[in-house]
Amino acid sequence: MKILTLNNVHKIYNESEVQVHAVNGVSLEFDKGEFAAIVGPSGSGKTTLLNMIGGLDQPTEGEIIVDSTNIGSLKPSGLIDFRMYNIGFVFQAYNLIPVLTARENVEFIMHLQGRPRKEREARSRELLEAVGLADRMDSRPSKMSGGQQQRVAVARALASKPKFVLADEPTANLDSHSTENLLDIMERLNREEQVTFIFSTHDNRVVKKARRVITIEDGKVESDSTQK
Amino acid sequence: MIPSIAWKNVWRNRMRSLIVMIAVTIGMIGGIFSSAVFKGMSDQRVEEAIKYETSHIQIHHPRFMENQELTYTLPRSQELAGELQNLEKVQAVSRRMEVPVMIKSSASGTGVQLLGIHPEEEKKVTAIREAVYDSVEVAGKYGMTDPKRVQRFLEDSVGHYFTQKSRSQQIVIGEELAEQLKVDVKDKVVVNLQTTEGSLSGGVFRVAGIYRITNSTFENTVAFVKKEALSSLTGLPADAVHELAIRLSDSRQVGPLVKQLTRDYPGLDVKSWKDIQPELGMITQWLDVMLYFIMVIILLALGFGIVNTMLMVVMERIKELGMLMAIGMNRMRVFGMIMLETIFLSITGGVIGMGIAALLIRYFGSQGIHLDAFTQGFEAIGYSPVLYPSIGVSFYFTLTGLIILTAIVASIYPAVKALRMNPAEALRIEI
Repeated sequence: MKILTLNNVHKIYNESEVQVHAVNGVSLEFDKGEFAAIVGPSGSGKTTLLNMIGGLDQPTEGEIIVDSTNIGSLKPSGLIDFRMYNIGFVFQAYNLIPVLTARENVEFIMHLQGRPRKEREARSRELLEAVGLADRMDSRPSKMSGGQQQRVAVARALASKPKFVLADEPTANLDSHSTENLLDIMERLNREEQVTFIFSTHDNRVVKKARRVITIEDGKVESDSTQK
Repeated sequence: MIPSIAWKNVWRNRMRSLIVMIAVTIGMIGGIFSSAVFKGMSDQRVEEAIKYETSHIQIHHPRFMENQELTYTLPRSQELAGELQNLEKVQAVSRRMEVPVMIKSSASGTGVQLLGIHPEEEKKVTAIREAVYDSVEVAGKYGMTDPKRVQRFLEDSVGHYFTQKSRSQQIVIGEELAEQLKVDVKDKVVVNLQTTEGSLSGGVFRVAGIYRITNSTFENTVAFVKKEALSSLTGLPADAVHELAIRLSDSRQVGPLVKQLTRDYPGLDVKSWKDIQPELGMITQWLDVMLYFIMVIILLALGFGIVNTMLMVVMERIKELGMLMAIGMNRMRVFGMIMLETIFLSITGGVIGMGIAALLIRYFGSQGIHLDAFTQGFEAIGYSPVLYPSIGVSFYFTLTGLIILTAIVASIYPAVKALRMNPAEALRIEI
């Protein structure tokens, strides 16, 4: 079942009168339950592509369809709501809310969605257990390691029950042990709960775990392959 | 959850928030306390003016106030006084004769308003009775240092308010006038005036007592004699009355009673203390406006500091705000969160400041602030050199509203700045 389609997507930046073609005619399709990595060197356009998929940036040309909604047609306010209900984000720098505990961070997005308190509490507990942080629920981000923070970020991304999770270089700031651990958790969630993950990365350890690898160079898809 | 996040955010940079709060606290203490001093000063002035000078309400012949013509006496004044005395709101009524006279001693002379009174009535309406001092202090003021002289002075100079019998006519004058005339208790003064027939008349009075209040101008220009003495000098009938001075049991009833009396006695001139001394009424009204004006200026200055702080907050947290907007926090909520943070930051300092100011006002309100060094200057304009700060509870409520308003206004620019950013770009910023 297709959940995401990109049709001939372009993104052109005008930087000091020089046009930069960051994304140049990308067309892709993603099915539910994929575990896909978008790889490419710095400046290849993968973050721009991910931002457009996540509705944080609008394509200059082409369309991005999430579950039959063309997100290019949404107004900025509609786009914020769309992101809240449909897309989970994991950022390179974790970006948790520092004044909230792990559990509150996970609950926050459900609060924005207006979910009842009991449901929020139950789901945040369940998710933090799933990422192996049952014992750190009441810790603030500053008291956790980078790997733990990123696991909270994964739990937060899943809290809103999104169609897919976008992770922009999620392991870039992690050591190898934490990277392994995080990837195992995401893989398990993908396998057991059919959560769709789309990463951007240039970390080989992530690439190895991915079942689909899309290589981008100069804003174009160089290769798109499935691996075991 | 957002208010809780906003409150926690206030404490993220503890030192910076504390500095802003301390600034707000100090601003509030300074503003409220000085407002309370001014307000207390004006309340005191009004209270003393009513107590010693004007009473609450005065009734005259409709033309008396124009030129104080002797013959403009109140018709059926005795019945009128009785009727007024029977009113529930009225505590006491004093029947007065009021005549402009020249008063002279062997040293000098000046013009004063001479009030002919019934001492028993008058002391229920004004407190001049309590302001009559014996001359101990006066002796010192006259530079009498020789103990023998002071002793002699004290022996025969005990002032009183028409309470001691005397063969001569008695007069009670203000301390300022006593100094000007260089007279003391038991000294003689001569009073000259025009009679009802237009001829000059005069009489010798002995100083019975010297009163001392905080308004030296009043001291210098108003003297009291018994009404019968003035009636015989002027040729007016003994029961003639120029002025009925009325004291009420509740000063809030002045307005309603003036209305009622104006309606009930259309032929008479009924005036409240505000009409008699319009500058006093104006002071109290304008002071309220000025006090808020002072607070608004203080808040405005604080507001700029708050804007500056909140701009720093927004800039520092631009990545976090970008993340919040990325995951689905809409603009209204981001705006609301920044506004709440600003309100919490401001109101915390505001409440602490109001609390400390209230304690200070309470303490000095009972102990008084003694400005002895400025006694002369204050008394020249009718103010007491001991200030008792006081401010109404409603001032604090209005002020809380003003602080919240300041915070809301101060948060707009930083919040708009936060909303203008693009989440994708904000997330890319390295801090």
